[in-house]
Amino acid sequence: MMHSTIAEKMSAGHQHCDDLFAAAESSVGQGEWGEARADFSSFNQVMEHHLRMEEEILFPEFEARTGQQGGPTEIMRGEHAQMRDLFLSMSEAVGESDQSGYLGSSETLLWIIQQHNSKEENILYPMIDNMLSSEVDLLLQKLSQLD
Amino acid sequence: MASSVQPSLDQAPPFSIPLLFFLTAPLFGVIAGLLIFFFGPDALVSRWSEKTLAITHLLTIGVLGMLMCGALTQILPVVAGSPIPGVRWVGPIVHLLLTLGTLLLAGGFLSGYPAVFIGAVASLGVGFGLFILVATMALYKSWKASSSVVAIRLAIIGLLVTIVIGIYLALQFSGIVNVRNLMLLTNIHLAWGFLGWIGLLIAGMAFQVLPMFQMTPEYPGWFSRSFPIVIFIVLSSWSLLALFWMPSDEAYQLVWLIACIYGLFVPFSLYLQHHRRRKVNDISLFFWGVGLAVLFLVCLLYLIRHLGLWSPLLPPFALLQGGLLIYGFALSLTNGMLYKIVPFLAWFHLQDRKMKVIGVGGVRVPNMKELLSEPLVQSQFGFHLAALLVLGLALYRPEWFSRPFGLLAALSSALLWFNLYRVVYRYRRVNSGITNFAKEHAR
Repeated sequence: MMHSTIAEKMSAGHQHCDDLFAAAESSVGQGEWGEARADFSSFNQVMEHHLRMEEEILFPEFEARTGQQGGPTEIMRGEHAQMRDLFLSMSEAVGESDQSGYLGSSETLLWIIQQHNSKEENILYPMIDNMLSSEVDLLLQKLSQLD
Repeated sequence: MASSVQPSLDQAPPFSIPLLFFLTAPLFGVIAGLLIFFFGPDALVSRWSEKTLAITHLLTIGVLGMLMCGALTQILPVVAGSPIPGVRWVGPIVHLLLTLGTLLLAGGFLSGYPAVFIGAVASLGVGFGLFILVATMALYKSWKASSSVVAIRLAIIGLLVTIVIGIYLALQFSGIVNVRNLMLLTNIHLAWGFLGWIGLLIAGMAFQVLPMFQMTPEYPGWFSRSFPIVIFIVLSSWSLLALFWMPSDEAYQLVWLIACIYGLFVPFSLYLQHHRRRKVNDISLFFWGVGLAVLFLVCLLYLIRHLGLWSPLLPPFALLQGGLLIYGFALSLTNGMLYKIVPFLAWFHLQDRKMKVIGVGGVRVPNMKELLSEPLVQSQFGFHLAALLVLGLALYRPEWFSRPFGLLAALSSALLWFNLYRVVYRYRRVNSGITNFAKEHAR
């Protein structure tokens, strides 16, 4: 699907990640471990790709434009690190078929993701769209090309 | 709003600030339950008795007001994108004044001393006044006027109206003013407290929180945008009409319209919940379900009464409505919310500190579910539900059931406090584990 702003494209990405999160959680909840491992792995891949789009393309552009290194993007990178720690626990739990371990970490992940996404969708993405308005098309293209 | 304001994204207050409010609130629930236990049937026979008024305010200000203020210090930065200015010192001051003011107000009702009421008015007036001021500053700076932000803004106005009328009424009790239309003003005070302040705040949070954490579809835009505004307009019109133009009975018709609008909130929420993408159930959902069911029941009762079908065999309407809205609706929802927000904040602050001090690996931070004890949480839900059922019986037969209700309510609040305290205890242990690990590896 074509998106005309960074906020649209990245928010749609959040929705997609949410869907995959819910699918994996539901497989784990039902104890379907084969499915759960596959679902978790695709969730993890898509999440990681989304985080890289921000860390490798959007944040550096934003930092270059604002001259801010320790600003909002620093906080966002910190929260990404917290998420990655939880991906790791979930990956271990799904590997060991540890249901309560997985669900405890995934609940925690959902909370950090949702408040993180809300800040990005309401504040950071609109700021990026505003500040880099002339380069949005180029940025969208770069984002689509990230492997 | 002011778009030149650069929001910073690190606006979460220190853990200790919301925690002050969250750990104090259940203690007021314990006090209220114990008072009902000691007073017995006297506590539940008339909404005008001083004992009932004392207990009501311990629950509405001491528990609900306390929780709502604590939650807003945490939620405004996320929902509205702007923090409460000076939250590090404003938070503890507001907390102290609300605690003191609630105790004085309950003491004033029970003792009847005018000076105690004046102390209560001063503490609560300054405490809530300060909170309203800083929350308004935060909301004014808010970037995006989402339907949640609109609902929260109107809720803060609702709090202001509730407090101003409440102060006026308290001055009547202290003998300073002579209120002519005491009954009408009391009705307006509690309508704004329930429907304006607590109701709109819960709705505003639900608009945001339900899609986020239950992965439900969004509330339809026309509904979430118009709901707070319609409630606010109907509430204001009714208050003004009743006070200045129409005899209150006719104006009272408007109130049941508000009840019907609130009634709409329930099927909408349940419909959305039915279509949620997350399929995992947990205890917070049960609390939420109980709260919604009670809200719907109260709306039905309104309708029955409006149609003239209220039977004298039933308990007094005002008491039933108040008891159900406070204990069944608002306390159920906030109780469920606490079991999410406190473990999450504990985890978040621990993880944040660990990443800064140690980095990846080293100390393992327990996740939200490991921080709580599930069996104890389930038994607290059981106590809460039992208390709610016995409350229904107690309003019907106060002489038999009010003491058991008081005892169950006190136990439920005490267990809630213990469950939350346990999270904090574990937080402290892991936190010192992080400190020790960092020290050892610095050598």
